[in-house]
Amino acid sequence: MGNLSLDKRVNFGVLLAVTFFILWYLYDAYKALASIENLILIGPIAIVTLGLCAAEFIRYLREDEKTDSKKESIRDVLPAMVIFSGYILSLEYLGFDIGTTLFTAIFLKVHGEKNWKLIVIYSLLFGFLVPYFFSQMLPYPMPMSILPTDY
Amino acid sequence: MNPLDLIDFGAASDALTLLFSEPSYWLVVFPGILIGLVFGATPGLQISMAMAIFMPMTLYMDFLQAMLFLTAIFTGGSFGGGVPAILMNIPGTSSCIATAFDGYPMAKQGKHNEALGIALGASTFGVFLGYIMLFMLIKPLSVMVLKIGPAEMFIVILWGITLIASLRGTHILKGLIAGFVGLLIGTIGFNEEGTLRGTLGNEYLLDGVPVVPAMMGMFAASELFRLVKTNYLVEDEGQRKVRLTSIMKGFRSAFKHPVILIRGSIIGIFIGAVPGVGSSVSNLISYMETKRRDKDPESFGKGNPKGIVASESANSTSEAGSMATLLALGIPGGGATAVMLAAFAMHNITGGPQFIREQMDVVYAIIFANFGQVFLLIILGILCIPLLASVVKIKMTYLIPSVLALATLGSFGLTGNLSGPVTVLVFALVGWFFRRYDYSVPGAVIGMLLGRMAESSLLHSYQISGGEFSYILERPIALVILCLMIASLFGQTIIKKIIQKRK
Repeated sequence: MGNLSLDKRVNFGVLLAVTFFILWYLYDAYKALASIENLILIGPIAIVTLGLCAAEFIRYLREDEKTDSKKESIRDVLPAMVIFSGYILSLEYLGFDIGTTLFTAIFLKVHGEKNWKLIVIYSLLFGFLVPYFFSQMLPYPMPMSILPTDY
Repeated sequence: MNPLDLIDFGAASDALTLLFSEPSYWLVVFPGILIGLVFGATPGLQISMAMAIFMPMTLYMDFLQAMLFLTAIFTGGSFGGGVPAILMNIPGTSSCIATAFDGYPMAKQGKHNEALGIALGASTFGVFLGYIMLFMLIKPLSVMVLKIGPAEMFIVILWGITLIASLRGTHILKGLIAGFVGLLIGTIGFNEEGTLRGTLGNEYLLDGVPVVPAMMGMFAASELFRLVKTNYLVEDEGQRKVRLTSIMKGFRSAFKHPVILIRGSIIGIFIGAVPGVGSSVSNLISYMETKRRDKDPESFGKGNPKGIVASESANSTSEAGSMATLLALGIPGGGATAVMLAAFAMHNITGGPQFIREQMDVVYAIIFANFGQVFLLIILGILCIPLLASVVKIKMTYLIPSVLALATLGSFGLTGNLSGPVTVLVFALVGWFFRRYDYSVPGAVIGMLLGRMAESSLLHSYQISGGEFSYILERPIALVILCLMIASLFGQTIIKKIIQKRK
């Protein structure tokens, strides 16, 4: 595997992760209750899918799958993924108002917006108005730092 | 049997009198459609959510007026859901999945005006034909639906899932893997027997993975990650314009495919009448049938307008199908009709054969009012589309964080806690890897949507049959659906082989 490109290694990793998930889920379901009722769908589907994964592994090893150079690489999307993950995982602490404002501002800055005034104005407007609209429409309290909430 | 016997003309006449006796009945239709359009077109907000939020208002209305208001939201939402599917690749509901297949590529090619016009044309036609069919078939349909058991439901679900194989022409193996993994994810949580699987001790997963937030992550967020390096949704500046003439052209062009419209509508009403399955599957079956029968199936998924016509005609007709089961049997077909059932209860009315028999005039009045709603939807749709289509003029640097935040807020609205946003995140990452490495994202989503239902229907069939496979031979409707499924999957290949052999 030493001379494989990053793209091919990630492709292999995805197939491996899918196979691992199926094996683990089948084991977990079997451990929960080894009855026909519990495994009536999970059992056959998991076994068929494992067979398909095995076929895909063989195809992967035999064929030299060409990578599409037009597709974006993981390096291109990693900043967006990290910022979005940070936004979701901080919602509990920052609330939707501050969280959305910071997420929008950081995203805009990282992805090339140079006008600071625009970043600040848009992030504040979007980050406060939209969560406020949702808080008025939804029947349950939302986590907020500044906007009123019963959360 | 004389087809005219299917219609109660006395009740139809009473219904018309009832509808036009009180102008207030029509006053609620306009705001209803507008609410449906806004909720359908906003990523993360659902038609069922709109109906639930506004249902308390119907307390002050009489039953017919309440039904007109709620069906107007339903009608507006059935088109509105297609708008983000076309413009942002976010199906507003599971019934718009197939709309995104060709609608979004059309938008990226700068044909967003035409795509939205086509969706409006096909949607309005679907609603109109659906309610005509409901008017003609409500009696026999209610009898047929009673004969649908878990075996039939499982086969319909199987039909939907097997379509996954053909969703990805070049990577069938990966397409099937994605679909089946989706199916397995769909069964996470408690099963009907009370056994808990795959939750890793997380209490938020007891009822399973929240499917709509997962769908938002897989479809929308993963696609937005992919677009971080692009400047605009439509790269060519000249094609970013919003033109009413192009929208109207698209609207008219939907009617250039009458066979697809009618086939989609027929699929929509019959599959839509199957409780729980409904429009989630009907739009896919209609799309795949259209692709399979087309002379150039390879053009589908790359911006073929016929794909939008097929999907939108089927999902909007499903509204009439699900109304049939609600009115005739009192069984809701999905979230929106479940809210309507609650409105029935608020007005002390129980749907079912007795309701049909005793209040046929009210049933017909609801159907006739929907014909009027179609025309209002055309007017409001044409007025609103230019505003909605302006999305293509927004820089992606602004659009991406805004839509991601909207999806996050909407997912919180669906679950009522932070499990919704976390689900969006997890499935956004999974979706990006799936999309990047050619696993079918729609396949995985459809699997997730139908997994739980597939398991229950299979379990019920097993319990009823006592494990005997011959049981299926005693179910004529199941056999017919099975034959249709086999014919739609293998028919063309078999015919081609026979012709080749003869040559």
